[in-house]
Parts: sequence; C-alpha cells; structure tokens
Amino acid sequence: MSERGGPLSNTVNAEIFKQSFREEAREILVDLESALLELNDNHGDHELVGRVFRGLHTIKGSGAMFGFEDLATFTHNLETAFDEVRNGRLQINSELIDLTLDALDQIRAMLEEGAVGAPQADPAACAEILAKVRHLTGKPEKRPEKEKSAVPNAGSPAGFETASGAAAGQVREWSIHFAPGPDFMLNGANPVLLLHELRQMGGLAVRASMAAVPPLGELDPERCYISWEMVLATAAEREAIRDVFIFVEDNCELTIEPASTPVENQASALLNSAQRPSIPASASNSAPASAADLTAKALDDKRIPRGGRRDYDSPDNASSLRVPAVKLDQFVNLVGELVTVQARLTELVAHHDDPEIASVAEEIERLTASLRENSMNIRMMPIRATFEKFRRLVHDLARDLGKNVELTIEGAETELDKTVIDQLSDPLMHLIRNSMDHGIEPPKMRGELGKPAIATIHLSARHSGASVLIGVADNGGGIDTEAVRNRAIERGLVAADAQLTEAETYALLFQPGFSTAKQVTDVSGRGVGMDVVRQRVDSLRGTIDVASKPGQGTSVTLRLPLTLAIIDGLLVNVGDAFFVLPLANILECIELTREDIERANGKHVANVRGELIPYIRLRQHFSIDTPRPAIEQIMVVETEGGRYGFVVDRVLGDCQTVIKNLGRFYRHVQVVSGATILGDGTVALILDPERLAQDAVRAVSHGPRGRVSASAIAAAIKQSLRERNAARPRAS
Amino acid sequence: MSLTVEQSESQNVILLEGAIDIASAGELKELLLKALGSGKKKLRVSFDGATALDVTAVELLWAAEREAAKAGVEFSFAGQAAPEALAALADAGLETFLVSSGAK
Repeated sequence: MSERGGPLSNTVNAEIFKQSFREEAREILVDLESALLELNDNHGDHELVGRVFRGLHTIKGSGAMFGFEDLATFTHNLETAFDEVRNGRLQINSELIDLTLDALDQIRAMLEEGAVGAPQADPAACAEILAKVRHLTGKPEKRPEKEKSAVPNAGSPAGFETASGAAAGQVREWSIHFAPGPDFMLNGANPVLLLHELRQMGGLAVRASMAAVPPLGELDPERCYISWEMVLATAAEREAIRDVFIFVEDNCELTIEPASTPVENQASALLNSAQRPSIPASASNSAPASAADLTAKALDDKRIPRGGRRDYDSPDNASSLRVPAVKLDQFVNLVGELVTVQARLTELVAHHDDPEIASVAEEIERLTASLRENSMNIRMMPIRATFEKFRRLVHDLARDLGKNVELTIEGAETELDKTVIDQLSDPLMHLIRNSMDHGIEPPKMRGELGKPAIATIHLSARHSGASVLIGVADNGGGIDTEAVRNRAIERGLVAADAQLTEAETYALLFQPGFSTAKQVTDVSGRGVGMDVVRQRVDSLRGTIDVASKPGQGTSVTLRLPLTLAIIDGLLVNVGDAFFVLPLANILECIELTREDIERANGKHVANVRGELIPYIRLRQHFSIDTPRPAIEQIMVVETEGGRYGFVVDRVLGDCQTVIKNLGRFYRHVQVVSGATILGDGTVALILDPERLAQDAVRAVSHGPRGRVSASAIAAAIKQSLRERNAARPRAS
Repeated sequence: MSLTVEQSESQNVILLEGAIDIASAGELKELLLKALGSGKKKLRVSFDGATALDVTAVELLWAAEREAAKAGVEFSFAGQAAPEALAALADAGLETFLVSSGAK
C-alpha cells in the first residue's frame, strides 16, 4: 500500500486561482465604481446599469467558484437589486448608488481578507447595507446557489421548475450548447458550478457528452473534454443566461437558442422524465445507453446551426494574457543581462578581425535592441485605471466636505511603466486631497466670488520626450504665498528677510510637516501628504512643478521618466571605478586643472563663466585610492538645490543602461540609485545627483557620514551576479 | 486529497479520498494506467471518502473503464462518495458515468 500526493498541490493551485480572481475582481471593482459614479450623474443610462449588473454578477459568480462564499452571498443581493433596475422594477437613485459604493468597500475588504494591513470587512456594516438594499427592492435576502431543487417540478410549464426570480415573465425553453475550451480548467473555472448556476434560473435538463474524451493514454488530465447539451425553461432573457458564462465566454463554445422545434420540446420532456440508469458492471466501449443519450441523439440529428460559435484557432481568442508582474520583472531582468552580454560580445568582436563573427555580432546587436525595446513596451500600461479610481475619492470627499466638485480626466490612455504607475497612486491621492481641502472654496464662498458652483479637479497625463507629465489642477483659490512664507519663517525654514522666488516658496510646501492649515481635518492639514508626494516623486527620479494664480487655482505637474528599467546616462571613471550620471541632470562638462585648484585657494569651487559652482570629488566621496590625473573633468549637474559639479577623471561617453538593484546590503546607500554591467563585465554605479549633492552639503555642515567604497559596492554586485548566474538552471 | 492503491494477487483497488479534482488529475491518470498495465484481471475504484469529484476525475475514470474493457480487465466502482459530490455531479448530468450496477 502506498500513499501518493498530498494536499499541498491542491492548496497551492487553489491559492493561485484565488489570487487570479482577486486581481480580476480588483479591476472589476474599479470599473464598477466608475460606472456607479457616472450613473449618479445620469440615472437613466441603461448601458451603465447593465455594466454594473454584469460587474456584480462576475464578482458573485467567480467569487463562489473560488471559495469566497461570503463575498458571493453579499454581492448576490446587490446583483438582485440591479437586476430589478435592469428590468424596470426599481428606479435608480442616489441612495442605491451610495449603498452600492459602500458595499464595494466591503467587497474589497472581503477580497483582501487576511492580507497584512488590509481593512477588515465589517459584518455589521454589511448587514446594514443589505437591509437598506432589501428595503429599496422590497425583496427578502437571497443566497446564491442554495435553494434550487434537484428535481424538476412537473407542475410548471413543460414540466420544469421555474426560477424564483423568473416566475413573473413568460417561461420559454432555451437550447444551450456548452463546450469548455482547452484551458478552461487550468484557468480555475469549473463547468459543474456554471451548470449549477443555470439551474437556479429555472428547470434544466442536462445531457453530458463524452464523445470527445480520448483514450486514457492520450488524455490530458487537466483538460475538460466533456460538452453539454441542455434545455432550460426560464423566464429569463437570453442575455441573462449568457451572463452565467460571462467570465468564461472567451474560453468555451457557447450557443443559446430558443428551443422551439417539436423535437427539442420532446427532448426536454424525455430528459425531464429520464430515470438515469446505471452502467453495466462489465463496461462496454460505448457510452452508457440512457434515455438522456437517446434524447441527445435526437438533439444531435436536429441541431439548429450554432450561430456565434467560437473558433479556438482564431487569434482574437488570445488577444490578451494576464501575467504576474513578478514574471514580467524576471523577463526584463533577463533581457537586461542579455543586453550586457551582447555589449561584451560587441567589444570582443572589435578586437578580432573576423568579418563573419562581426556580421553575426551585428545581427545579435540588432535583435537584442529590438528585444529590449519590446520588453520595455510590455511593461507599459495606460494610466486609466489609476486615474479612474480617484473618481470615488473625489465623490466621497466632496460629500464629506460639503463641496461640489467634478473630476475631469484627460489622457487616460497615456502609457507608462507599470512600476511607475504602481507608485503614483499615493502622491496623486495626497495632491487631490490637498486640492479638495485647501484649494477648492466652500460653495458659499464660490458663489460670492462669482465662480461656477461646481469646482473642477482636472487629472491629466501626456508624453513629453522620454518623460510623462502627470497634472493635477484645480480651479480653487490658489496658493496663498504670503501665508506659506509666514509659516516658513515661523518654523525657521527661511530667514525673516529672505527674498524668495515663487518656485522657492512653492518648494516649501513639500517640506516635511509643513502646513498652512489652521485646522487639522480628517482630509489633510498635518503637513504629511505633500512631503510624501516629494519623496515618492524623488524615488521615481521625477520632478515637481507648481503653478498657482490667486483666485484662479493651482496646478501641480509631476514629470516622471517613462520607465525605471533603463536610463540614458554618461559613463565616467575615477581610477578603476566607473559611474553613470543620468543625462537628464547633466548641464555641461568642464576641465579642472591644477592651476584652477590653486586659484580657488584649495576651495572646492569652480568658476564657470563667472558663476561659482561648488564641486564634489567622487574620488574622495567613494574612498578611491588612486592618484589624480593632471587634468580632471567637472560634470556640472542641475539639482533642486542648485548647480553642483562632480569631479571625475575621464568622460567615457554616453550609454543607455539597464538598471540593476543594488541588493539588500547596499539599499541604504542613497547616493547610488542602482548599478549596471558594462560590456567587459565591469560594474558601473548609477549616481543619484540630487542625493549626492544633499549628502555633500550635509557633510559640510554636520561632518561626513560613514563613507561607502565604490569598489566594495561593485565587488558585492559582481559576486551577487556570479551567484545568480550559477544558481540559474542551464539548458542541457 | 489522497490517492491510494491497495494491491492483492488478483486485483488493484484505487481508493479516492478528499477532493479529487484537477490538482490530482495527473496522479490519478498515472495510477489508472499503471493498474491497467499491471496484468491483474480486476481494477476497482472506491469512492468511500471522496468529498468532491470534478470533471477531470469523471473523464479519467470513464476513459479508464473503456480502456479496461478493451484490455479484458474487470472494472468496477465501489463505495459511496459524499452526497454533496454526487449532487454536484448530478447537476451536471455526470453521475451516470460513475455508477456501476454491481458496485452498490
């Protein structure tokens, strides 16, 4: 006796499917919020009602399938309400929309149950929401897939039971053909549960066909070969029946036709009364002979043409794939390493006079460049989902603050790197909260000022070269520069007699803890939000631009790189250490001779056309112990704190480099934002000019922090890469 | 989920316990092929302890039954799966494929 397998693989599979459902449901929730908010402005839009119904239906159906029973039951009651709206039995109103929005928050919490830091669903709030929904619909609580009778009711038309919710309409018979596609089961779908759901809609006669099941040896055990012919008697419309299959429709053959022919009516009667016989103990090669099979034969002989049949080979069936972000990151990392190896190959070829190898190397270079571009494009996604979710924030804040605010969106299709998008939500949220709380005036004041009663917050995105510009603009009162200045003086951030430009004044808003709010509210005023904006934008290698006109509004523009994976830089060296400086920061390069140093009396300042620019010696900063050349180079860079020079030995040229993380040991070294591997395998450190300048200024006033050695970082990175390469399985 | 094979001189018995679904489908196929190729004249599949059966299990067992008939192996089902499992299969019109008259 031997026991094989175990619960682990089962659990792992279930968790994978659950995760996949969570991802899908999160997207649906965003779309639902957006549809509900649009519906709030246009109660008569039937298309929006249908969109909400389908979204709720999908969450309910998939939720039940993947074991989120509470979520499915809760959603089922909301779905019922929108079914009533869809059928004209209930009027849409703001109360139902607000209740549904609150319900979405609870659904979201149920989805994330168990996740660290996630909000918990509140059973009392759920019960209250359902009670209010039931009060609106006048219907008792419904639980999905629990009340169906397995035996058809002979008293109902055509011998079928009728669905509880369908009894009001005309009961009709529908002939349904359903054949799951090859990946159906692998995607976590379960045909049995779908049929179960169909039964809820009315009387259902089912015949499963084994005709496509291959011999055992050839059978793919993870594929569903079984198909189903069904006759459903229901008052529901075709669309409602199709909705049962809404989230698997792309991966199955499905036809739903009125079962109007006499043969089919006879078939349904036969199926209804069929006593399912047992198969003989001595199994034969044929499928079990049953009344159901006889019926099926009649159905097969007389089948109506399958309109809208899906062809698995047609390309549109696989128009998009859901890929875990971590797999995408691995792919981009591998492409990055390929780029590095290709650069080494090109360098090696340059030292060998072999035209044949040179030709192959050129071809590889061309393909690698194309692959790199394509892999970067895969990570690009539209910012729409991020923008759309702020509709809800604006709706809720407007209600809480008693303001009338409309959110307008422009450029939602603008694409940027997924990593950038993932980190944009927080800063945008803080900017919008700030605008809503401090920027937009109360309705009464707007009226007195002769401004439109409904204020606007405008979210926009557009490309600008290798950057993307994300804008948050409002038509509120604008920034009170005098109040900012006074607060800064109070806090000792600037001297009382300081002359500040507009840009310098606005920059104060992003200081930690800075707030001009006289009152701390639930929304803002603690001076935390804008600091978060600055930190996040810094970490994305972006910049912030603020423009404001008193009485007319404020506009904040974030300039962000399109991608975080590749950087355009200038390669420089100091002794045997190599560095990459982001091209975006570099203004110019000038020589630094020993005479220049003597003229400055040993001070680290260069005279550039009359402007004194302080410089930082990378040799000193990174503890590089090699002698200085007679002529050094100063890379002049622009930072938020002004212009600085970085002194290096030589400028080697421009380069487009794939950024590698430093790993956990050097994550704290903020002046280095990453590393890259050069063609000959040498590690070059990518510098963060902003941080480097800040660090140098800090060192002057507070003394140097523990210096980091460039060679130590580079050696650690090389070692980590060697270990990673050794661990990677190689094709035999 | 657990799949266990009990062997005697004349027959193999595969015991299905817990949820028999896509997660165990590959293993079930292997066990069925091995049992059918073992040269023993009887193969019995027991449902006692099976709490759920999905379509992959149904089609594997159905294909095994046909394979057994071809190979001259006496194939039978025994025991009783959980009522919920049977109800789910009945909903999908699949229960007839997993019942043999001599087994109940």
